[in-house]
Amino acid sequence: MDKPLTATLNIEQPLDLDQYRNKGGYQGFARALDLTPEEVQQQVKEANLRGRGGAGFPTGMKWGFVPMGEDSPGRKYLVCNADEMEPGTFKDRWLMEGAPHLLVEGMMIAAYAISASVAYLFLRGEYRLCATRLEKAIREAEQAGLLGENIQGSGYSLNLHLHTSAGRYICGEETALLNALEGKRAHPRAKPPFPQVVGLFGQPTVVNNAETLCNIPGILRQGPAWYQDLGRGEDAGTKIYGISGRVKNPGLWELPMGAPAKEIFDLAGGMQHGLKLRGWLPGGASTDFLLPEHLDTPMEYDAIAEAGSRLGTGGIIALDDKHCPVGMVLNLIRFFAQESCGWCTPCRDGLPWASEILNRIESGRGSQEDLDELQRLCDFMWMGKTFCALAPGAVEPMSSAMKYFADDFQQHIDKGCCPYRH
Amino acid sequence: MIKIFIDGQDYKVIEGQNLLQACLSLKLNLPYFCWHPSMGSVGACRQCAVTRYEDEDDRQGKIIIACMTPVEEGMRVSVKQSQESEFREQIIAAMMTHHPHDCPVCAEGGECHLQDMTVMTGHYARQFKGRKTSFNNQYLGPLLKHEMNRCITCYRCVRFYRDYAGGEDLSAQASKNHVYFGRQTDGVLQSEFAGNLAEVCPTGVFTDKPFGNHYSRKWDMQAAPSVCQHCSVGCNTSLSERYGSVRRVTNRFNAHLNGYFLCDRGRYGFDFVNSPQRCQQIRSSNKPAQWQDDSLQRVLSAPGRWIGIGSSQASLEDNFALQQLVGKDNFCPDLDDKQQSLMQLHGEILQQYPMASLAEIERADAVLILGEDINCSAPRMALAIRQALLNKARDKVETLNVPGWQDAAVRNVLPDNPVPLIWFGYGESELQSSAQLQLLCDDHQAARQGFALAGLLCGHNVGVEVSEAQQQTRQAAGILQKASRPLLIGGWSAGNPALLAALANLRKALGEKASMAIAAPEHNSLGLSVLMQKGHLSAASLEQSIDREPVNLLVLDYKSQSWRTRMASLMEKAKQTVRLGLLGNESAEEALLPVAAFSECSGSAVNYQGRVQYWQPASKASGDCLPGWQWLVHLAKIQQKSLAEVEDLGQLRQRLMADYPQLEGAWENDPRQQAIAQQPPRYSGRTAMLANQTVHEPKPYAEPQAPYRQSMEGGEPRHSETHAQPYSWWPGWNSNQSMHKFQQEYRGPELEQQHSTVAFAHFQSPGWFKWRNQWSGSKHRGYRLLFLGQVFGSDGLSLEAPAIAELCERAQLWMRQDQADGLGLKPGQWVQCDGLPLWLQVGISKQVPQNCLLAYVPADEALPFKVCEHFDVADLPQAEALEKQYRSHLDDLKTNMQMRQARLLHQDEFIPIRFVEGVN
Repeated sequence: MDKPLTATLNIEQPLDLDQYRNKGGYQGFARALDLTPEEVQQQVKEANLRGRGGAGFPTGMKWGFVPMGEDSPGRKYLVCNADEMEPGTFKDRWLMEGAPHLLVEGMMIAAYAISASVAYLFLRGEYRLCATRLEKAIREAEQAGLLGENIQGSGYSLNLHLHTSAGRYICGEETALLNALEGKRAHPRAKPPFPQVVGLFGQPTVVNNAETLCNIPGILRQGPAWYQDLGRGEDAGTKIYGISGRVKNPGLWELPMGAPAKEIFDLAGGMQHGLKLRGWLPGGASTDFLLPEHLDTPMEYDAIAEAGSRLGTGGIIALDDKHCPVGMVLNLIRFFAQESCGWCTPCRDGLPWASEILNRIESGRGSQEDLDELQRLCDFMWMGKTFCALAPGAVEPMSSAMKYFADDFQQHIDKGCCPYRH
Repeated sequence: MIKIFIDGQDYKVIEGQNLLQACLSLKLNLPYFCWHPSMGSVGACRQCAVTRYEDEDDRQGKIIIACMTPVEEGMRVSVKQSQESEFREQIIAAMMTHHPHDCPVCAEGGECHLQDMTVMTGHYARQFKGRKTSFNNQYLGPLLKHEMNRCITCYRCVRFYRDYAGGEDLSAQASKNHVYFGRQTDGVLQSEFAGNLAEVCPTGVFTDKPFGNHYSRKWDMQAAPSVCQHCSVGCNTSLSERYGSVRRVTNRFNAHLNGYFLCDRGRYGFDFVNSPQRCQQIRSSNKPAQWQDDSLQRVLSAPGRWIGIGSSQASLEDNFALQQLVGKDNFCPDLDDKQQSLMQLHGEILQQYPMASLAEIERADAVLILGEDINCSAPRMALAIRQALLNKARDKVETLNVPGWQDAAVRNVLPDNPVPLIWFGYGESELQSSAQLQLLCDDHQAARQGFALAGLLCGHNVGVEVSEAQQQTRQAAGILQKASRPLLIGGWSAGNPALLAALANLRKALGEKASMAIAAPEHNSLGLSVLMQKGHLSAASLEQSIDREPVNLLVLDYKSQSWRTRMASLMEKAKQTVRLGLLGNESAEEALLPVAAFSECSGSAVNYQGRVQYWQPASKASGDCLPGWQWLVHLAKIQQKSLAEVEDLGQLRQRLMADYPQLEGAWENDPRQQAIAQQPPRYSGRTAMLANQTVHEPKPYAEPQAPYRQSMEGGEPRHSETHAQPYSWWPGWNSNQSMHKFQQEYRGPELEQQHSTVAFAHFQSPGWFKWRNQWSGSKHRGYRLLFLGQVFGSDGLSLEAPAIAELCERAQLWMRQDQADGLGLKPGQWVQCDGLPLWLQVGISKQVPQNCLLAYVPADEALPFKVCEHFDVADLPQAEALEKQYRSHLDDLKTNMQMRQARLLHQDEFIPIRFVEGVN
């Protein structure tokens, strides 16, 4: 099986420019330079690549909204969203530490496809090793004339800058990321206008997830048909899936899109000794719980949505039967309450409220009314009522836990304590 | 107009509005916090949620945020169904998780938008069981009080302060539910528009500090529609009074002028009316006197020529009465020769071109500021110019199908879509720093370049050779030519008539597409200009007359120090002087008649546009005070002049209109109209049961025939088409936000007609102003001093308000680094110019033209020189003495402020409230 994402990945010592080139690196970029930007966009559209940041928006279509041609603005930007802060998600880190040139090449092709002359790599501040390795890869590319003015005589110029984030979960939201990059408060922006039209410094901008961009060199090198065939189900290509929680062997694997969750659990060696799976979050903390009965669902966007959750980042978090689901949700909601940017009311004041109620329930001081209030809060922070997707994302594990683990919540109230601790 | 359906009913609304605006214009109650008519939508608070339905059959609908949704033809929404109502209640409940229950001790209580919205959503019981967050409060200076615990995080304060007004020292800090709005450290807020935060904040985080020191609930105060007295814009204000003292000024909406905002000089400067320096008693020969006293009567009936000296700070009526009494040939405005020629020219220009309202200024797509310190001479106008700078960004987002009220989008594209601001002049200011094209020059140079620019634009010489144009001037010509709504700004700051002539030439060269605004020095300077049209005594002939024959002077109050110095020399020569005084007791006049302040009587003024605006009294004049015109009528009786026949203000205005027919219709006076209540219809001690038997307050004061009544009974102002609102109120809306409900459209694409009388209505066909020789600068040795103003300090009246006085800086002298090096001066040093007693502190600025220095002198000091050569540096003991003197001045201010507050509070205690025994 082809593993275009991890074929050149070496976590101990990533390939330098020459080694990467020897393995076919930068051929995709060379191929792109032979095409027009519109043709590159077309290739990616045909490949049916969908964004790996969590929402699964078709990448080619996203690029298609950027004004192109003679009359389009002179300055455009490509931004790589590598602010990986979703709990339970560490796929981008693996790719960036192990294959920095793959991301740099992906960014170069994407920038070319929208005729951007400047690209920013917005990296989570804590990813120090990624920063070192990416910085090295960028320098190597610059020295080899792959970045800079008039790249390899093509007339195309690109400067790529690494920016390490000052650190907020909200910076993963693309418009908040742009504000942060401009040096403003990291609040999300209202859409429309979309960043493809009014983005960084008011100019057309595409923001793509790091993993998404890592898919692009392969598409250009081996063609959209090859990429389409990689997927096992509806969606194209491969994906980095991960798993954390009390499994025997937590980790990351590159699998075809649409591989069932069971396969990932098997690769992880199943649950640790004496533990049974209670539920699992398919793609990071801001997705709904699924149950063991959903393990055969293909891990692709529509199938997981049909099962009642979201594929998200593909980073599974497993909940076992010896851990309190209320405690787990409390832990997650605390995180989200802490990370709310403070812009809109439901998120800013609703999440701490939910956290306060969960805290009381978990410590045995909850009441039936608290459960009702919590249910109301789930509705209060739902999509369309908040400014961005942070609070609805936070609600997903909470509302699904209240549905699937209603008994556990009830027991906390009836017994006046956490049944998992006593 | 398009049709939309709200709760099943169809309404016509204006296309391009957002749904919240549309609902409010339809007088529907839809609560909101972060939206503001002049700051647009950002969608932060989520309070204005409504449900939108796909079509008639859609029963479920989807929650949307009204302020972020443009109205669309056939759109169906509900605002009263349970889905959206419950969500809105939850929003309040979420905000209330931290809001303290301190309404009884909060200065906002009773006019709090948060209170109104809470009641409107029906939220009453607290569900949140956790602890409230608490914050530290900051000292923000003498104007505003900070109480962060009350914050509901609507972001309006920073959006106003930073985005709208360009301030930098207030920001949103921290995140999640700990967002903090304040300065980095305690300190005085730097923006001269900071006071608006008290009105912009929907609750009690920022409150009016001087008002808080002598506080009353809104429902206990009488309010009167008034007009600001501190610059020529004439912003509309509302004065609130209780127990005879004026408590505060709030903004009174005027779509064409101030809109929703005032500057701090206007908001806090009113306090001079409560000053202990106010003249309260008739004085004769420097002793308290009675009107009937023989000595006083002798003075007032003295034979010989009487010369009246008008005042650009007094009302049109007072000045007119004076003109009537002494005759136009004996009526002299309070201007020197230079100012009279400025006035002359300004009057001519006003007869040729209309002046742009602030609303029109905000529509400009290119701005030229020609040698004017507009930030100080008309701060509110500078704020309007700042808004014009957004126009290209707004156009840009509209081409992307994003409405112009999407504030964040507009500000995102702003850096690449600036409205060109051209600055010819000197000195540093907020506008100067945002100028795209700058020419650093003195006023002579600015005027000559203005003439050359007009020449470039019209293609022939209009007095100055086109070849004189500098590179910036040529660039400016290109910008102005391309613009479709260029705006020209000028004024009196530099004291140079050539600048006004240049501006008029530019206006003519650009044609009808251009608009223009010229700031006059005082709030009623142009009122004097109207009266001068009939002829007047010039400053030069006044001096001659006084030297030639014995004359009696009759002087309306004057305030500026330089004028005072000049008056003193005139008074020495005059036979005798009678002063109609507002402030200050010490003087050598023979008789002093104390006049009522603007808060105590009706009056009118003519603003920079030439519009007549009038105000109503908020309280009764105290002591012996009478309105100036009434004293003059009494004088006319003694001197047996025809003015004696005037019985009331209405008759005086009739005479005024007879003499100046262009003023016809300036004053609405419909006796059939029910008098309008000056008090909001709220329950208070005054309306408690049996109050008529047990509690008596003094009978409210009302001016005879005034269309207002100091009562909560009377016509509601919102029903009146013709009369200004004394206060802002709407059922369920007790805060000033109720104003937002009245706006069909605020500064939208089509401007409404401005209904008021222009005192310069007969436009002459415009001609070119030729360059006059006297405008050319003379050669001089040493440095020419160019005077700059400060918002707090250059206006004498407002310096009598302690809060403003505290912000007044000491005299300063700015120079470039190379000039300082040449003179051997260092920043911070104190210097005297050519041996004058005034000390100025040296400052360094890049914005100083060649051979010039910039000087700022507070209004209560004077520096008569225009050119100086020698600078004497203060030695160490002198500098220390100056510091000591300043510290004690600040201490005095503080003591004065405390004494004033104690006096006012003491006064309140003696309001005759009488409890009748035997009634329970």
